[in-house]
Amino acid sequence: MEENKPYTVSNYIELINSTLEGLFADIIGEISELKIASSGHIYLTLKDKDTGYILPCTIWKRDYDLIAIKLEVGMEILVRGKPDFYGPFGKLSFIAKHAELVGEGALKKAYDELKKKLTSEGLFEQSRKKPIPLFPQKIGVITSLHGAVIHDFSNNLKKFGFKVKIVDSKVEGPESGKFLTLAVRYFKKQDIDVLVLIRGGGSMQSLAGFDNEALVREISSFPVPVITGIGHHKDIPLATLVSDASESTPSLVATLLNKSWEEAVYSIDKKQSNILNIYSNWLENFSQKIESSFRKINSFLNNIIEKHKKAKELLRNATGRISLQIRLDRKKLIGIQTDILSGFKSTTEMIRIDKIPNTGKRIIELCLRGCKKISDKIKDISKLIESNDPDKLLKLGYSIISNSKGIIKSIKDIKIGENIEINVFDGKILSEVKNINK
Amino acid sequence: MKKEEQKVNLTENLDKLSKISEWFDARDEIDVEEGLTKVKEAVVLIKESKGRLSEIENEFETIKKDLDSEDQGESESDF
Repeated sequence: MEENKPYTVSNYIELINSTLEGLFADIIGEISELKIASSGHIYLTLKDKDTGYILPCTIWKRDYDLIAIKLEVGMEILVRGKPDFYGPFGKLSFIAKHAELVGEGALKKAYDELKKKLTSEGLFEQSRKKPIPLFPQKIGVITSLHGAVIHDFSNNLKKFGFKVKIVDSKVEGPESGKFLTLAVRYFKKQDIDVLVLIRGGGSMQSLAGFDNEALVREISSFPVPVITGIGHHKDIPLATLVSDASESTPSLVATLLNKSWEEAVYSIDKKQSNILNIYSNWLENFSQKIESSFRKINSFLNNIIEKHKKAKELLRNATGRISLQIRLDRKKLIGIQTDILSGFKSTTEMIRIDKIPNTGKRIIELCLRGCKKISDKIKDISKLIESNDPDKLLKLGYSIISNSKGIIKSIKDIKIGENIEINVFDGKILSEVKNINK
Repeated sequence: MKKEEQKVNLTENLDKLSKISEWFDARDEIDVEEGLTKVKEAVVLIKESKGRLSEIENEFETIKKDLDSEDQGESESDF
């Protein structure tokens, strides 16, 4: 601008405002007048209690919503912002971006009232709380990156492949409520499994941001579970009360996130052990059953072989007895034949010389007696032969096994692979030796 | 993180393993053949799950969010 050239009103107001830019300040005063416009903007007058001087202030609706304090005439508040000269009305106003109650007593009162109000709305009820999902992986974190808190949290988070998005936020004092609320709103649009709000301990004034009504309502309506880890002494922050789960420290929040992963490791080990133990026992039982069955079959086969041996011995003895008996009987028959011939000869002689009266009749009697004797003897022999007849034994199920060299009486008589002939009562079976057992 | 590790659904795997474990617990009579099939299935699930539960580095991303950029212009039109 040229020297000494007058300003237009607008230019001068611009100059004023650019000069006022540097007057960013915190101001304490009492609300003497308050007006809430239909647009939601707040217009109030701050009065100095000592001098009575007044300062018009403006709080835009958007900021007022985030400050989340119900301002009333008579309250002592601190406002933070800068002055602005509003050209259309020619009026100076202090534009407050933040306002907070002054003094622990006022904070405590506001805390109690808000807690009562939100409790009556049911915001802290257990039934509203969402369960923490199993195996959370995508974690949203809101905290201050200045300080040890974020390190305590991340150092205690075990290596399960967590994907952590951290929004750096103010967490100190009543003003932090606005930033925390905006951070929660940001995460509402992000793909996360769980949201975490953490900070270390502090006084009521220090933690006042976590008692912000707007923040509490954002958490209450958050789509996924919210976990808080906010250190506190006496009064539990309202953000903690409304959250779905809470821990007293950031480290414990990390432990909570690890929990389902760690339990899975234990659970898998336990199930693995159970399944393999049971199946191993099954196999052992099964093996014992097979062994027991094998013993039974073996015993049964041994029994059959033993009986076969006895039958074979019996057959051999019977054959021997039959041969002996046949020999003996042949001798007897020859004796009888000799007797008959001798008797017949003498009788013929007696008949020829007619020494005996009624010779003819006696001859007949003698012949009949001799015949009967022979007949009885033959019957006895037949019975004996029949009782020892090999065919009969074969019919009972015994068999005679032979090879090219004759009847097999011992395992020494045969070889594996040799052809053998099994004689049964009604025929022969040709077979091959597969195995020989003693 | 490897693609295979991401595909493993631990919840489903644990559920399937629980069912196999319960199947063995509930069996009065030994069924070696079916048992072997179940054991094979369990071994695959255990291997997959343990692979997912093995040490995988965490990833951290810091969002530098400029909250003031969300400020919108207001006017004193209510006056």
